[in-house]
Amino acid sequence: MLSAQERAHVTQVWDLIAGHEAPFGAELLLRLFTVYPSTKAYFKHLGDRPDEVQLLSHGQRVLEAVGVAVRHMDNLRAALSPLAELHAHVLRVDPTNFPLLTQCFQVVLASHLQGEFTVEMQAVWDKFLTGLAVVLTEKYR
Amino acid sequence: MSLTRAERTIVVSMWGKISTQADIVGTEALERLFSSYPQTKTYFPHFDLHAGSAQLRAHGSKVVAAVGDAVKSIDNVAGALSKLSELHAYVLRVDPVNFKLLSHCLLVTVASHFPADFTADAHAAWDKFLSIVSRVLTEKYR
Repeated sequence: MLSAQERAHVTQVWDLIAGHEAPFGAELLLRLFTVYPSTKAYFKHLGDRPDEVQLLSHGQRVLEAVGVAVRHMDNLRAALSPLAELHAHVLRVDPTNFPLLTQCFQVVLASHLQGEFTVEMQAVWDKFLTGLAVVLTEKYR
Repeated sequence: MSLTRAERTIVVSMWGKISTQADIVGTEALERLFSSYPQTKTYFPHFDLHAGSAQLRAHGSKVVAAVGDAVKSIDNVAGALSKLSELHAYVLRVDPVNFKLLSHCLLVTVASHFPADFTADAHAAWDKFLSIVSRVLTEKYR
C-alpha cells in the first residue's frame, strides 16, 4: 500500500512527534472537539469541556496508537487488531468521523512542521491515516 | 449556519495576514489538493498542473481572490459570490464533495504559514466560513 519512499516520509515525520505524543494528541483532540463538536458525543467520559489534563491523557493514548501503526506499517491489521475490536464492538465510532480526525491531524502537523509539511508529506500522511481508519472500522460488520 | 461575531472577527483579522501571501497560499492549496486527491485534477484537463506552472499560480490567485471577496462581504457571501455560484452551477459543475477537500487544503496551507494564529478557535471559524462559501457555490445546482 505505501511505497518505500512513502514509508520513509511517515517515519521522518513520526520521529519529530515521538516523545511528544501527549501535547500533540491534546492539540489534536482540542481541534477535533472545537471544529467538530459532534465528535464529543464519543467522549462523554471527558465531560462537555475536557480540561488540559484529560486532553493530554487521552491525546497520548491516541498518538501512542498511531506510533504502533507507524512501527507496523507492513502489518497494520495484526498490530491494530485489539483496537479494531474495541472500535467495532465497544466504541462504535461512526466511520464518517475518521476523516474529521485525519483532517485535524494534518492541521496539527502543518502548524508544527510548517514548511516541512510539504505537499508530498500531506499526501503521504493522508494515505497513511486513511489506511489506519480503514483498519479500525473494518470489523464493524 | 452563520458566523458569530467572534468568528467573523477572527476570519477578517486573519485575512489581513493571509492576503499578504495570497498568491502563495492559493497556489499551494491547489498543489496540496491535486497531490492528496488526484481525482480533483479531472476538472482541469486543460491545465498544466505541474508544481510551479503559470496556470496553477494564476488559478491559485483567482481562488484566493474569491475567498477574499467573500471575506470583504462576510455578511453577504451569497451576494458577493453570486456570479461564481452560477458559474459552478451551470458550467463547471464541480461535485460538491470536492469543496470539502479544497477547504481542507486551504486550512492546512494557512496552518503551515500562520501557525501562531491558527489556534483551535481560528481553525473552527475558518472551517465554518469555508463551509459557508462552499454552500453558496453549490446552492444553485438544483
